[in-house]
Amino acid sequence: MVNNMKYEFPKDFKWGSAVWAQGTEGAFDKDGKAPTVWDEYYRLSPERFYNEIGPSETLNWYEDYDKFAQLAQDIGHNSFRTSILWARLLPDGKNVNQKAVEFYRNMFKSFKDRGMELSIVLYWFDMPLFYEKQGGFTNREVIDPFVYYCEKCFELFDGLVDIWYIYNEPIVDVMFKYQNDMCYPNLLDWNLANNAIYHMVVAHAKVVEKFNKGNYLGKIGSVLNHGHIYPRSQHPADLKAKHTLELMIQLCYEEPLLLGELSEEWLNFVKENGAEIDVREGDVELIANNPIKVLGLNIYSPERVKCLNYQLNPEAPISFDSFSEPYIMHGRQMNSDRGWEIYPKCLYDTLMLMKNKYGNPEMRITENGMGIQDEYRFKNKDGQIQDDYRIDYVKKHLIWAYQAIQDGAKLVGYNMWSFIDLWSPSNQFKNCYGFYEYDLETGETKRKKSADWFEKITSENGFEE
Amino acid sequence: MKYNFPEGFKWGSAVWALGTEGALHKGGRVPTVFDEYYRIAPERFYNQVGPGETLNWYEDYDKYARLAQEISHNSFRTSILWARLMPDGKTVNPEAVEFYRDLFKSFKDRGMELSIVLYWFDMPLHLEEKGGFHSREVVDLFENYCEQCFDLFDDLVDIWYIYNEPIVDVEIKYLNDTCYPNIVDFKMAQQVIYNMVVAHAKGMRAYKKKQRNSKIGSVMNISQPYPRSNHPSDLKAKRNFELLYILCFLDPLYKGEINPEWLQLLEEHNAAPITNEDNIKLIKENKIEDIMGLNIYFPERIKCKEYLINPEAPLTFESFYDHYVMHGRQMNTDRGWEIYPKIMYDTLMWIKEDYGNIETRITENGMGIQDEYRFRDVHGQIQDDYRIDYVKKHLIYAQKAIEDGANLTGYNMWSFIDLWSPSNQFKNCYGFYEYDLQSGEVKKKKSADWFKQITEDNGFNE
Repeated sequence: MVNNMKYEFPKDFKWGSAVWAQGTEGAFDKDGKAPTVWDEYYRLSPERFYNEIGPSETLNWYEDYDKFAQLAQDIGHNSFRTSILWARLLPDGKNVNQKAVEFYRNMFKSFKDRGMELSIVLYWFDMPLFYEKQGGFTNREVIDPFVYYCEKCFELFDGLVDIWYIYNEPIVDVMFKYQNDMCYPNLLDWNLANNAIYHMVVAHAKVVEKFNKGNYLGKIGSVLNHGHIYPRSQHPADLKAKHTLELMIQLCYEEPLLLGELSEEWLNFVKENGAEIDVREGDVELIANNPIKVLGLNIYSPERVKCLNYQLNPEAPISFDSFSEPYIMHGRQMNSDRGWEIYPKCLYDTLMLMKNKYGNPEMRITENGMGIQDEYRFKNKDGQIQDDYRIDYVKKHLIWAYQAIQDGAKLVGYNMWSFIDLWSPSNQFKNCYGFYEYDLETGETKRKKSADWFEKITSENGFEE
Repeated sequence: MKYNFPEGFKWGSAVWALGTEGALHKGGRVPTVFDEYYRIAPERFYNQVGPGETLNWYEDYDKYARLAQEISHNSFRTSILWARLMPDGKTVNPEAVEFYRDLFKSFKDRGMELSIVLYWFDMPLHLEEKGGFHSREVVDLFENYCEQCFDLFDDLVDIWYIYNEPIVDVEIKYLNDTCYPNIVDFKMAQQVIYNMVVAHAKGMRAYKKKQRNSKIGSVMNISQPYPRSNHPSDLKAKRNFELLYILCFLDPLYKGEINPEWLQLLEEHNAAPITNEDNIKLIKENKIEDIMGLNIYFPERIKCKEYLINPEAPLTFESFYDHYVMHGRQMNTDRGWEIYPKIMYDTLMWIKEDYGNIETRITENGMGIQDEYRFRDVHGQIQDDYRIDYVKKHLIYAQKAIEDGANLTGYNMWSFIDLWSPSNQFKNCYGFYEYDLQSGEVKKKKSADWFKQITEDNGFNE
């Protein structure tokens, strides 16, 4: 007989899940909310949204958040993450929208009063349209309005928020808008992309400085998506490809945000390839003085990389794809619905990198999970989605998280993506991730099997396997 | 919202001779390039269905003309097989004349405007063996073939289209290895394009020899291409695509001019055709002035080459640009084609602006679906709501273009009935009518009922 292994997590480990404001609030034009880049992208090209479902066709938390806070409590959550929409809170960038304050305060209370640790993201791909028309983060002039917005949030919601995350997946924001043609303004521009990165780094430092000076309650950090990068081989060209990708999508944020070091290597690299970055006096000190000690990690799949197979066309625009290409490894496990590799050990490797290189910040898995298309295929006769694939995915990742904790990583929580099926920026409702199923037609909400399972492991603070 | 079309707007659909006639060995018909391709490599044809295994219009066309009438078509397009009309390339075959006259009458007598294509990929094999359009002899024979058609059938034909998708003809034979003689030779392909342009001018010259009661043009598979970005290299790639794939035919056929940028691009790659002054003059004097057929299915999205090409590799169209796979594009996954109805508007407005607002017809547009029996209802009728949706969305943009001044006067869906197609045989079906290749049974799809209604109403509500 084989004894089951017991995975018991540290006392006070936080269990929960996450959503984002744009994917849950609905009410996209109510009470003075200004349009975001998503509203504009949908206005211009509705046919590029899966089933032509725009950001307004989603849940309606603006009205009925409380019901969902109850559902989170029902499955034993002791932590939750969502975000604030800049375009709702400050529709003109300056004046606070009191209706929005009321909504967010009530919503936050609704979760807090039910005993959940609350994490709030300040910027989640959702640039107000009028700032994007000025260039968004590619324009240094947008930094101060952003800092102003963040400070307003700290003032207005102090005491309700346990952890502030300034950004969610900042590199994805830049890729969507200035590289991959996946969000308004749909540009392909190396210079703009890297300027946006740089300005986001400077803005981040300014926000942290304000937060620290303000003696607010709670903690401050950011959420980074980290797909751990594995080279195809140890060939120097593959290693170089791996390092360049790291530089472009990880080190550019991780070093300044976590270590306070503006990466000289990154700066030189992007400049050599044609970007003009204006590092102004005081920037380096500002960044050095304001690193964060709290980190959220969104981890789904590994990045496997190899050197380019062919020589680049020298006339082609430089892009993030100009230095390496994805490596399709034989025998990789796939979530074929999402086209993503499943490799649970990447979670361990990332946590250990953070421990060893970045001073072991206080870490939470802020996203991890499995998107499935047409999930109704998996309903049992009682109509419950039997998402054993999701349970399996989460469990395998948690086992590696447990292992990292044993090896010293300061991981204090796990929030699955997502709490409920919701509108996502790249695929709308095509791939569903939730503990709860959401029927867009009827508004009906149903627990999936994974919710029952997660409730149990939360109450037991671990599981046997 | 109500979408009304102009009075007299023509509604209908299309087929092609090779995909419907059958009777490969009957009535004196000689083999075409497709018969030969099938003889040599039957395994390359989907389910090994060759051009002989299709409908049998050579015998039973009348039944189909009646089916077209039943869904209220007021226009129809098909083609003549050179290999049937002139088995030796130059002498008229009376049996074929009788067949085509009867076939044409069968549609005409039922009140349909009739459009006839003269050359639709279907080069007679013995002429392809001489080099096809690469041979000057064949170019001259083609002029004679056109003239005979005009003389024999002009009383029955409303619109003559000399070519259908000429660039596809060149591609499949001399670049893409998808039709006999399965050659990959970029320079030869360019010479064929030029020769086809000359042959077209000669066909036009033959047409103008007499007073005719019809209109004449050609059917172009073109749509306004979209660059990935405004980066100069993406714009240049888009221009390369335009020159190599569109303007090489469109400009000489409709402006009477070989596009100088096209020639220059080819010269830079040592692939320019040999031209002569007499022919340039002939092209100038014989441009199309009546009508343009447009086959529009999907948008072309173009970006610059990501990578350098191997300098030793043979040139192809893809040596000059890459296709851009845009995030969020809608797909007809069966066919692997993007669905973007706005191309209808963008293309019609482009033709309006750049080609003197010549009269245009949508001669093809439609949706190919694999294993369409999946969509049968309890009564066995295919519920092709996807096709209705596709056609409707394209018609909405067509109507908008008309409102904005485009001279569009008709819409013929591809296709009237499921039939043998050159690239996929019966794999993807497009018809208003379902055709069962085993039993020969014919059934209306839901889209046929819908199209009958919009034809009678000359528009629709949405």
